Parts: sequence; C-alpha cells; structure tokens
Amino acid sequence: MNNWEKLGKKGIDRRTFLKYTGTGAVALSSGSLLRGFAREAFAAEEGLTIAFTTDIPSWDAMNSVFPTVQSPWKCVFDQFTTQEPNLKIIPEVFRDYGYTDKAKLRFEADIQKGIKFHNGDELTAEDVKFSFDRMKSEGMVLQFIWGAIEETKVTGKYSIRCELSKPFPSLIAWLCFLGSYVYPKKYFESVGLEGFLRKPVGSGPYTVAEYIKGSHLKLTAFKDYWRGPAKIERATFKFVTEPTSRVAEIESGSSDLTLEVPVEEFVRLGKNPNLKTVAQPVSDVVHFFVNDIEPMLDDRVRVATSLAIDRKAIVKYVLQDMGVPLYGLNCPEYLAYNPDLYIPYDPITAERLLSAAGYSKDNPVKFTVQTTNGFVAKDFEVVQAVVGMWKKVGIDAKIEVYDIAKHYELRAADQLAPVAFYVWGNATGDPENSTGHTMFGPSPHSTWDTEDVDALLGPLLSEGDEEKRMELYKSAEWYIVNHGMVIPLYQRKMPLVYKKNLKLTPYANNWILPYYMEWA
Amino acid sequence: MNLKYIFKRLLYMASTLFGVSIITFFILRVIPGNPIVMMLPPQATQQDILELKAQYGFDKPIPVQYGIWLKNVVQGDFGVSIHMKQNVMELIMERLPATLELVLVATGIALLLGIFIGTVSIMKKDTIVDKLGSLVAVLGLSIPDFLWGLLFVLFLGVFWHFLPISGRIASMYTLETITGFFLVDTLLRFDFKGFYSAFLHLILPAFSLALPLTAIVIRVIKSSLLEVIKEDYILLARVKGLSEKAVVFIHSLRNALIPTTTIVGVQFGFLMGGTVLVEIIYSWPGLGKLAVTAIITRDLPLIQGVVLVLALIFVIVNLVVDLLYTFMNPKIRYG
Repeated sequence: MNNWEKLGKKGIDRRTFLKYTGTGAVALSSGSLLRGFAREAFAAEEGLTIAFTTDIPSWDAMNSVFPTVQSPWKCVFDQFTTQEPNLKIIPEVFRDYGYTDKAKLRFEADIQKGIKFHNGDELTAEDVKFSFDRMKSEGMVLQFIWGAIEETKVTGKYSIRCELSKPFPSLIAWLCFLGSYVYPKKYFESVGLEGFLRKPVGSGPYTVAEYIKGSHLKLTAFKDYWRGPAKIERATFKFVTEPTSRVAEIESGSSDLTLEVPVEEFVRLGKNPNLKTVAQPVSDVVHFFVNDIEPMLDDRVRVATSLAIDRKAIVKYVLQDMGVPLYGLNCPEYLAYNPDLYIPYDPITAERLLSAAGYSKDNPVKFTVQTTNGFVAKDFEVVQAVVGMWKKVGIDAKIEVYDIAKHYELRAADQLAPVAFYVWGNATGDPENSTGHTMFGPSPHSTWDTEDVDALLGPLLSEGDEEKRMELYKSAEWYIVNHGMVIPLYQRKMPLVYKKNLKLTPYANNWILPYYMEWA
Repeated sequence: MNLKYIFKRLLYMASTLFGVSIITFFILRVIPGNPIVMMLPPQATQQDILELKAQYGFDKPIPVQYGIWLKNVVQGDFGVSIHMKQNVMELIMERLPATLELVLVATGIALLLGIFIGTVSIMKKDTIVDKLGSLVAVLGLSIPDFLWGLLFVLFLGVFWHFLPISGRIASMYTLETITGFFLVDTLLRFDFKGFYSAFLHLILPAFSLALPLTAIVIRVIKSSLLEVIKEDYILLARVKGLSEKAVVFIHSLRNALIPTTTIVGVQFGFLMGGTVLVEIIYSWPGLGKLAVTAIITRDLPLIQGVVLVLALIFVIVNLVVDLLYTFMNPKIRYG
C-alpha cells in the first residue's frame, strides 16, 4: 500500500489538514511577496534600456577598429563629421570642410562654435589638432591611415589646416569612421590615458553615469549638448551577448530595444502587439572571397560558380527575407553603387561553361569552401544551400568550418581556400573601403591578387577627382564581378526589435543612437 | 596540522601552476587565429601587421616570449589585454568577485538543499519523500546548468515576469563597489533595496548552477549516510534511546560529510571554470564571459591570465578541502 493509498484509507485528519493548508498558504504568500519585491527590485529605470550585442573593449575609442561599438562611443564623443541614416555624410564638429588646393594635399575645416565637453571646457581647434596628432601617433592602430596627414596647423580658434603627405581620397569618409573622435586636449593631458579610460570625457550628447565592464553602460543626457539636450534623458546599454537572452530581454520588458536576434525569433516577435520589428538593410556585404589558386584560375569555372547561385532563393528561403540579393561589392546606399550590375541565376550557362572547362556532373570540379558557423546569422546554412546549387551543375564543394579568428589569419597569409564566405562591413559607403580593400592585391585582406585588377584599383587609391574615382570604381567592380573574381551574395539586414511607443529611424550602418530616439 | 605538510602542498601548487602556464602559453601560440590581424582594419598592410607584432613581442621565438611573460608574471605584471588595452590583472579582478559571488551562493544552495534532501530521504527511506528526493537528484543530474538557465529565463523571466533575468542589480541602482561582492557591498552601504535587487538577480543564475551540484550532493550524502548508519556507534546511539533525528543529524551526518566535502571542493573548481554558459545566458559580468571574449578575440595575455587565476583558485580550494578534513575527522593526520 503506498502513501497515497494510506492517506485515502485513513482520511485527512484535522492536524494533517492544518499542516498542508498552512504550508500552502505560506508558500503562496511568500511567492506573491517575492513577486512584489521582484517587481520593485528589477523595475527598469525610466529612460531607455538597450539590450546591446557587445561590451565596449575600451574607452579609447580613437584606438579601436570595432564597428559594432561605435554606437555607445558616439553617445559620449563627437566625430569630425557624421552620417545620416542613409549613410550621407553631414557636418558634426567640422561645420565646413574640404580640400583647398587642386592637388588635394591641403584640407581645411571650420569648427562648429559653442561645443562644450562634459567637463565644461570649450571644444576648439587645439582639441581637433590634438586628436589628429594622437590618431597618427606611434602605437595607434589607425596610425597608418592618419599618417597621411603630415601636419595639422591651428589657423584660428575654430579653424584648422591639414597638410597631407600623399593624396588621401577617402579622408572625408574616414572623418566619421572608425577611431575618428574628438578628445579634450586639456583634460586628456591632465589625467593621462589611464585617467581618461576611468572617466571618459567627450562632447557627445550623453555623459557616462556608470560603466560596469561586461554588464552595462548608463548614460545621462548632457544638458549643454550643442545640438540641444537629448529627449531621452537616461539611456542604458546592457551588454547581452547571447541572442536568445536578448530575445528574453525584450520579451520580458526588461529592455526597450534590441538587435541581432535570430531570424525565427524575429518573425515570432513581429506578432507581439507590444513590439515593433524592423529589418533594416545595413552596410554589410556578404560574399565569397575567391582565391587565385586552382581551380579558380580558370575564368569559366569562376563565372560558372557565380552563375549557379540563386541569390533570390537563398534570401527568401534560407534567410527568410533578412537580406537583399546583391550582385556587386557595393550596397545601394554606397557612393559607387551600380544598379546595372546583375548576375543572373543561370545553371544552364554555368553547366555549359564547366563543360568547356572539362568538367561535368560525372566529373565535377572539386574545391573547398570555407565558412564560419554562427558568426553571422545563417552563415553555415547559406553555404550549405549554395553547395547544393553547385552540385546540380557539376561543382563538388567540400565545406570546411572554421572560426573567424582563423579566417583572418588565413586571409592575411593569403592561404584561404579557393572559395571562402565572409561579411564585409563598410559603414562609410566609400568604394575604397569595399571594392578597394577587398580586391586590391597588396592589401593583406584581399585574396585575389592579379596584375589586371591591381592595375585597375591601384591608381584609385590616390585619385583626386571624386567623380572620376567613382566611375572608375564602378567599372573596376564590373570587371571583377563579371570575371568571377569575387562572388557577391546579399546585403545583410539587421533585425531591430523595440517597444511600439519608441520612435526611431534605423541607420544603414548599424548605429543605435538614443539621441535621435524619443518616446511617443 | 603539520606545517611541513602545508609547505609541501604549497610547493606542489607552485609546480602545478607552472605546468598550467607552460601548457596554456604554448597551446595558445600554436592554435589558429592571430590577434594582431584581428586588431587591424582592412587597410593595414603587411608592414603594419609586422610592426604591431613586434610591438606586442609576437615576433620572438615562443620560448623567449614565455620567458619574458613568466618574468613579468613573477613580478605581478600579467601584461596588457590586446583587445581591451587594459591591465590584465585589473580586468580579472574586476570580474572575479562576480563569478566568486555566483559560485559561492550556488555552492551554498547546493550544499543546503543537497544535505537536507539527502538526509531527509534517508530518514524517510522508501517513502514518497525519498522518491521525490531521488527525482530531484535524477533531474538535477540529467539537465545541464545552461538548460536550467534557459528554462528559468523562459518561465520565471519571460512568461511570468517573476524574477530578473540579466545583470547583477537593477539598472536604477548605481553602486560604488568596495569588495566587488554586490551582496556585501550593498549591506556595507546600508542599501537594503540594492541588496534585495542584487539578491533577486542572483537567484536564477545561482539556482541554474546549483541544481546539478545539488543532485551530486544528494547522491553522495545518501550513500555516505547509508554506510555510516550501519556503524556500531550509531547502533549504540540508538540503543541509548536517542531520537532518529539526533542519531542522523548529530551522530551520522558529521562523518557522512567527509566525502561530500571532497566532491564539493572539486566541483567548486569546476563551477568556477564552468560558469561560462550561465554567465552568458544571464549577462552576468563575470570571469566566464571575460574568458569567452578573450578567446574569440584571441587576446592571448588575457586568456593566460584567466586560466592561471582559475587554476590558482582550483588548487587553493583543494588545499582548503584537505585541511578541512582534519577538522571534520580528527583521526585524519597528514605527514
């Protein structure tokens, strides 16, 4: 006879009844008490809480090349110029700027008056000169970029002049790109780098109220911000690195905005009446690097490899529309975007080209395709789908999965497989940072290095005529893509999820800027 | 307690740490992934890469690099993080209290629950209470900590909005840390609301980590108690007319705790290194999360520092456990 049977046989006496009902009551009341306290204890602060993808590596924003953390940095520091949501470059600290000589070796800028740093100091030309000088100094990771500025002269309290040692066509783009921030000279020199890292001071729309590494960054609106104080007074970046945890954050109401959630979750969250979802095309071009090694030395094999991919099907079925099919290295928002560039899905021509090269379904061309798995959404799945498409035309590709660190190392050593999946970000929209550095042979980040392509791209790195530069980049891209020297796939879309009453405009360069948001 | 024994153990500790440092250092330098390449943007040239390599000393032979690193470590300098550009030891010390607090609370929960359920199961052997205890043990062992974490987040955080699911304290609290242990710091500052917030934030991650360990403790305590209650001195205690509670809790439990202490000691070390997934799920700013970032970015000085600190904690906990034996059972002597 088991305990339940014993209980049934004996019946429930008064003592047992009181014991169990008492225990139940205590459990229930402590549960509701705990719940009440929980509500009190983790109630979100009034303001905006963002479940963000990554922590800030350091407060030395000038000495870093991580595009994902530009958003929190831009809250605290101003840049020389900035970008609109569609990537158009607009003034920020530089009110007016441009080259003042024909050879484009002299750059002059007028500084916006009335900008204050968080410590009350006024931002002047001295601060700009200090920032330029530091950016090109020994040990800075972008020294080789800013090294092109030979000397920065203060020509007035609010004006500077830069003398360049060589033409630097993408200078304007770099003024709002990685590492281009204005630091307060006086404050930096008085506290040193360590002091600055402990208590960063910028002239951006928010001041740092609290930063706990690995946990969160709390920002308070800077009352004296030159564009006017932010409408959202307090903003918190919570560093939630795990995508499913970010979903939980937004769904539980602990955060007001999140990004980069899994595709399936994005679709599901879209049905939540309290949330709004936006899939924003961003400045990330997903493509296959092609290495100039066998069997990719054969033009026909490369072109067939590209023609055999049904980009629209991949975007629709694998990515569930979280991308835009792309046929070049430049997104529609980029300066040198060519809308006429198109690669059709043409398995018949692909098969014919492979046959001319001596391959068939029975005798397929074999190579390795490298990919990450989980570095970006659906990377491995996309490559699997492409390999399936290739198989149909006589390409037998073996998938090799590696982590992103190995990809960088192999790419720098020019040892990538014949085909390798990658996502190339270019927030500036300048073709030098897309077609240029992806394909120019001497760059350690390109895998294709042949004289014909280098002859097209090399001169563009110092081309002073902007219109001509754009046209030449377009024709270089045309040549490269139509010879299968790179295989473009799609433009990535960034999944954004936020509370319905939050008003924001998504940025094509992934920026999340609380200053430009407000509650409805 | 023999001082010679402690001294000998400290020497073993030093040699263990030396071994760990050599293995970590050499493995990290032969696995794929170059931290310097990851630091630089696409525009960098081969020359830029070489210059930066030289700046971080990666251009020297590996044994020479190790020698330099070891010399610096002995002087207390663990180097500068490549990714975060901060002193490695400062970064570790910022995160260590968060992980220690989590692991200590999880171990405490596991010990309390495990000992209680295990002991009650023995007292109520073959009853529904015993079967429930066994069920808890089976569930705890078969479901890993990260899955508990996900279940808790889903049900207690997302569906029922019952407990917080990320961070160490609500964002409305700004806490000037003293020890780095939020429970302690809030109390030291008489910030009881902050204490309650920190406590609530600890519940889910601590339980996620504690449940598998609780299951182990239940099993060990049950089997130890079953052995102990067969001993003659327990029979004597019963003959003397002591109550069952007194026999089990006062006379049996103390001896049954020795194997439990060993298991908990070893598990504590594993928990310190095994919090990674739980820290990621709950966005807990601890050492595990730091280690993951360091590994992804191939931040070699930081990985070495984290591994060495974890190894140090592991050997210290083992030493403490060994020393605890003598308090629990005076018959144990080390020579």
